[in-house]
Amino acid sequence: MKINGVSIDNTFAEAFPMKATRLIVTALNQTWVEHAVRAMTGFATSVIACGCEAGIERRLSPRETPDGRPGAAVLLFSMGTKELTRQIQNRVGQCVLTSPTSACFAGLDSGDPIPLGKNLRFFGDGWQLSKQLGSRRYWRIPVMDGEFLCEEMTYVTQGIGGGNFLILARNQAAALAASERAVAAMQKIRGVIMPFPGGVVRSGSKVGSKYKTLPASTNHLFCPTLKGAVASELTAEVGAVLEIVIDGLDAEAISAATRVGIQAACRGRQHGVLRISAGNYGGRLGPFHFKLRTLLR
Amino acid sequence: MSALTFKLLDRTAHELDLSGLHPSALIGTALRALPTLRLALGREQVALADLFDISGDDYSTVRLVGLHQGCHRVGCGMTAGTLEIKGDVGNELGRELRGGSIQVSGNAGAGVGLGMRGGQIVIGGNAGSAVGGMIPGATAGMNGGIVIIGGAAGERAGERMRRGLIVIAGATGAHTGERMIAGTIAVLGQCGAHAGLGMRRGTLLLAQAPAAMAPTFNDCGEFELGIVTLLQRHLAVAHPALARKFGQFSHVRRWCGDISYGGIGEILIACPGT
Repeated sequence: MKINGVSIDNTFAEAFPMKATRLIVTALNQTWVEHAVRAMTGFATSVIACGCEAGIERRLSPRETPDGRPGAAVLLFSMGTKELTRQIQNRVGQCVLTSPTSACFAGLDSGDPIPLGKNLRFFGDGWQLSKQLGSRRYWRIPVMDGEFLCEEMTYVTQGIGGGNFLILARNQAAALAASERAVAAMQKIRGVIMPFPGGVVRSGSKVGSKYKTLPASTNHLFCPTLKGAVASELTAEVGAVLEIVIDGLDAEAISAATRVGIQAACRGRQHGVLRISAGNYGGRLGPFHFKLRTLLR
Repeated sequence: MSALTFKLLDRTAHELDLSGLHPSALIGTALRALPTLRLALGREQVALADLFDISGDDYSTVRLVGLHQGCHRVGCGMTAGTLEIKGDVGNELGRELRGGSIQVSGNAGAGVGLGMRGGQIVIGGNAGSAVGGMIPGATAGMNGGIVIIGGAAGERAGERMRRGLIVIAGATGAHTGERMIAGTIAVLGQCGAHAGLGMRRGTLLLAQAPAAMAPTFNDCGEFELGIVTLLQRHLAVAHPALARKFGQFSHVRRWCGDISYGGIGEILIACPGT
């Protein structure tokens, strides 16, 4: 299979179940929304060492937010509910509560409830106020610029982590340009995030290592500088490989993001992209398999 | 299917207890058995067919037509469904309401939503005293749900209410929100004397400043509070027109109190011209 001259490998991306939630962060203007959500989703690229994977799903207009102000939807993924709860408490407490004019709300309506403002309210030192509206409770925590408004609970759902595809190009510049096109297109899909810097990861990994303490190590079969040293997956003309990792609330969202991402990566003339592949572990890691050729058919 | 409709035959009839005429009370009764149901008319028990013309077959919506202020306890203990009332009703409309929706086109007597825990009551006209108040012997009043009064309300609206939202489009009598435990009351007309006196927590939103603020409330200054927008959107589901009037609360002056009861409650007064 080829798209615009680019070969699509007959392979699949292997993904695994994660616990996920969506939070909505609002502020007086979009600038301060960005400050809050970028701080909150910082150092959240991989559960290997960050505790969670997080990213900005999309920006929200005032009509789309609970308090009628500009906002952003953030998705957070972790391997378990307990760790996700801890990450939310730390990240909202240190990055959103602290950000001027901010407010934070649950972005899902159903699932297993976990604390959002339920514990953060104690920052109010007894001056916090609650307001129950219908089935939802909100906390008003007095802070130095007014009140931090935060919903009491958020909801955890079953998400999927580790959707991915690889862009194999002639050189770094071509791989990066294709990745940027792909990420820009994928950011329009709801229910997914690309948690790595700029949505792109260059250090694709395999499970395990020659060093016993490491759970993951470089995906040496896709490293172009090792083409002569290992049974490389790369042909001679491939000079750089970049990966786009996708976490999503469901398989449909990941499928849609993968599809538009690959199509965007292959778009244009003299794009320098040679192949599209995907990372998998022979089906041993996760139950979700996103077959590239099936998605693009 | 059409709404199960009960049209009152004799509007001169005396005091009627209509606590059994709502969707959740009628749902287990066969249509053919409805005329033989008995209602309290003063000190007597009277068959439903002697009082009402009965039509329709949709138990989820019950319509009561031609009621008057002698018809008491309408929608008492209702848990689900829709109850539409054409005309006025007497005392204790929606007493101990748990769910569903009650709509009244006219006025209501005292004790609207007494001890209610959920559901929604919308009254087009005025309401008497003790809206969302306590049932006799209880220590707390309304504990959930929404009450919307299209006109004015009498004294002691929301007294000792614990949870829920009361919105009064017109004026209220004295002692509005007195001894509130929590919850929210919004008064879009002039609020009577002694508003919020003895309140522990909760929010009293006033479109107009009261004639005199109790000395046990302290001025905290003017603010734009996000919780007002949430209240407005919550109300918009039940009554969009009234919710639009919440725009006047975009800037409020916050008074905290009653400081002799902990000072965690608040009276928010709309700031005109902002």
